[in-house]
Amino acid sequence: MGGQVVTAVPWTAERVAGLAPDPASEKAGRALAAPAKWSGAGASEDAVWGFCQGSGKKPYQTCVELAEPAFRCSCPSRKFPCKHALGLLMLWAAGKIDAGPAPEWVHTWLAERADRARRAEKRAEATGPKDEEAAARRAGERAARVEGGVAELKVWLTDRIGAGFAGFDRNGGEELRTVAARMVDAQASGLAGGLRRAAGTVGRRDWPEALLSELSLLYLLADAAGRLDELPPPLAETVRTRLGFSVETARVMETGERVSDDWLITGAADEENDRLLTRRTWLRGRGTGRDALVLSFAPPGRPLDASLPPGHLLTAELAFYPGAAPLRALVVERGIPLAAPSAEGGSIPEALAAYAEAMAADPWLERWPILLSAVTPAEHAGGWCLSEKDGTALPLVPYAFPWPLLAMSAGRPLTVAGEWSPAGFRPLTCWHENRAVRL
Amino acid sequence: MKAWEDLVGTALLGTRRRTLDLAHLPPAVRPLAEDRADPAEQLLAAAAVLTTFRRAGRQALHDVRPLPVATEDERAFVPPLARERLARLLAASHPDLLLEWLGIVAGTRYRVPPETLPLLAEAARTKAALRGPLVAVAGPVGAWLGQRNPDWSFLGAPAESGGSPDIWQYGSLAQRRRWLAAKLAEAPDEAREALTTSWKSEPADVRSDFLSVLAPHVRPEDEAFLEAALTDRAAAVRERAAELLGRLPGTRYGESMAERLRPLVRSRNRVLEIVLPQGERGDGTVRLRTLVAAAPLAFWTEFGPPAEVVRMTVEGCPAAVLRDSWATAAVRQGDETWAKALIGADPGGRTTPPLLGVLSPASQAATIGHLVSRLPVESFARLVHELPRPWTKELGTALLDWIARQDDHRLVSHAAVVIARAVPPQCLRHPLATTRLTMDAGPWRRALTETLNFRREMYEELA
Repeated sequence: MGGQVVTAVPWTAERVAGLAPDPASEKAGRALAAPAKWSGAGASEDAVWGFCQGSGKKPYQTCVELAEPAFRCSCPSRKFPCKHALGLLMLWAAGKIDAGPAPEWVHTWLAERADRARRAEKRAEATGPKDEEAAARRAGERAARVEGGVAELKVWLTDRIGAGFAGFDRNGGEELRTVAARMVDAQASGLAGGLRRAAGTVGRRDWPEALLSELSLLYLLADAAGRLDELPPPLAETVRTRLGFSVETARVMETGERVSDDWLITGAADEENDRLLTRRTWLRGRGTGRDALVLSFAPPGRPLDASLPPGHLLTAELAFYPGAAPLRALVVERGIPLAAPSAEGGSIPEALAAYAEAMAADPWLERWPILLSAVTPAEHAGGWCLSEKDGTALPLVPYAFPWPLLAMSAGRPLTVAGEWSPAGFRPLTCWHENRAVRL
Repeated sequence: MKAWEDLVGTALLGTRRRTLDLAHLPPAVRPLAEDRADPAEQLLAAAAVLTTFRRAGRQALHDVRPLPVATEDERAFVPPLARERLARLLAASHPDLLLEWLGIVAGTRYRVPPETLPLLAEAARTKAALRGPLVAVAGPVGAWLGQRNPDWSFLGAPAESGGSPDIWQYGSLAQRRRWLAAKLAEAPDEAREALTTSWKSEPADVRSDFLSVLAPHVRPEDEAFLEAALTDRAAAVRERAAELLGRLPGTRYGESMAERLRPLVRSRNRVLEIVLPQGERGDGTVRLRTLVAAAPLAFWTEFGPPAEVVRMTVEGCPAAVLRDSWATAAVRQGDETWAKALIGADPGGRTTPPLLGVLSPASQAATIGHLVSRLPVESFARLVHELPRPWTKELGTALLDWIARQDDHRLVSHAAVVIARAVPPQCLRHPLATTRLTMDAGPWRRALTETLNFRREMYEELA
């Protein structure tokens, strides 16, 4: 080894596992994390690489670029990253790959990538302003369709409430899904999502009131959509976002509120909807106390953004999307995530007060990040909750698997981060004996 | 909240059928509803405000009672590499390797990270063999979890080694088995007293089960107890009792069996003439099997040394019946000479694996070496599956030496799986594990090498 070879700090195994596109890949990756499977493996500051002996004659050539991260493997798998890339990173995480100068093929690939990124940037610059007219026309057409959808929804809502929705449970909310489909046609994805959520409540024990809650908020949204010009600009932005209009990344980068801080990555939740994977990553600014949400999307089998590992601290500048209660943000400038072995949160009353304030600004808020210090899992009315010393507690969502949290607590207080919603608290990360554990 | 319930009721019935009384709305909400003309819109506007209010104003729970606190666990966590290994074991579902891993940890002063306990407990719920080592590894946190989750109550078993007689009286079957096993080792007399006192009130399957617990501890003083069990109502209990009695030398039972056997056996010109015993009912060969299996093997010395007797021609019953019964007797009585003689007479026979278990480690390895040269590869590969465990270092090495020389064959690859998992830890540095594989090595050979190395790393990480 030459003395000047520098390597990146190996990631934790949990962080590698977080990259897996599905549990099967994680499992297969772990099985490949054995030195005997690899030859010619090495690591540098930018990349990890190696040859993996598969079932075929020729070993697979695997390389991971660490910054983004990006993956390349000569195997035929369509999963991304493939099990070989995961296995290689696991092996690296276990400290079983030595530092060394990158071989020619790794250099070539890294250079290709850098080159492509430069070209894409140039292209974006070159094509930027040209299509402005066409873009404006398209935006106008879209707005008109959404407007039509909003009007149709209002008619349907008032008609339905006029006739009463007793009997909705008989066909399991079929009618709601039909209206949702029409909202998709009208390009009002926010309204469609709300209707599908409403359909999901039908059949629950308390469905009439849950349904009325969802439908009334949709009405509020449709109503606000017709008065966008009268609303204060931030609230108008919120309404547009809730309707399903996306804000261009470039605009957020240019005009979004910038906040620099040391951000604690408090948790990440993955969800699959309509064959699209969504990862919600929550951040809390250590200095500013600001909460932020970074969304990442991917079709199944493709990687979600893994550059924000929960339980790590990241010095970064964020650009917030516009809105009345700005939460969603983009990461503009970032440092290297460092493991945060402990975290400091607040109390339950503080968290609920912050949630109420956010709700007042954005009544369509679905989830709110909460970071609690010194809470203990406890039982309440047949369910689980997180309790403070004085007996103040938040109920857990009914579908949460409480046992890992219980095992870490064993009756003692913990710091826990998670999402609060009308259904309850969903724990995402917990700090225990100087390490963060993803739940 | 009355206003909210009103809204839900009206929405269910429909504003055309039921008039919404705006007067019931809170004063702050009423004007917002009155702004609208359509009663349906009035309802939706009011509901939106109340929904937001209800969500934003949601109160925390109060007066939640804390759970008891688990006893502090002073042990350190397993080292990071071992923690990774556990994640791999849990993900790959190799219950036998997981069992071995837990067994190693149970012998150390380490504990596992608590967040892995729920998955481990789930694994042990369906695979009872994992429970013993898991209870040790999980420690007080495990016991605490077991008290919270009825599915994992095996983790919450009270401390039993103290030998509280309450467990013997009121414990679950598993707890009682553990109590009895521990007691038989520490205070054999007390254990036997407890066993005989409750014997008559135990169900048949429990009686048979307790006899298996007694098996490794059986001693001459147990003769009377076992003899009484020979007349048990349940056949399984009678069989187990006969088996245990067979392990004791010089019992009255053995002698009486030999006496009943004597008139039935004669030898003439290297031929054993057998007369099948007569009885009120049942098959004569079945009765013969019982007699031969239970009689002391010394009975046969008058016909010649074991190596000769087992090769004699048999008349009056199938030779296999006699050989099987001798094998049963040899295993029960732990008679190495007879075991060797029987293996020598029929090395590929189905009694060879249990008979090998009777041999001393050195002689076991030597016999295996001998069998390798006498048996076709297929028969030997099948034999590997049935070898009694645990294997000694000598046996493990002999088997690794054998498989190292084999070519690709389906049965060889199956045997390789067994060998890789069953060789004891002292064999894990065998050249098979440490020599680099050639590029054309078959998949089974790769798997074998990997398993050996995987297991070696398991031990090293926890050393």
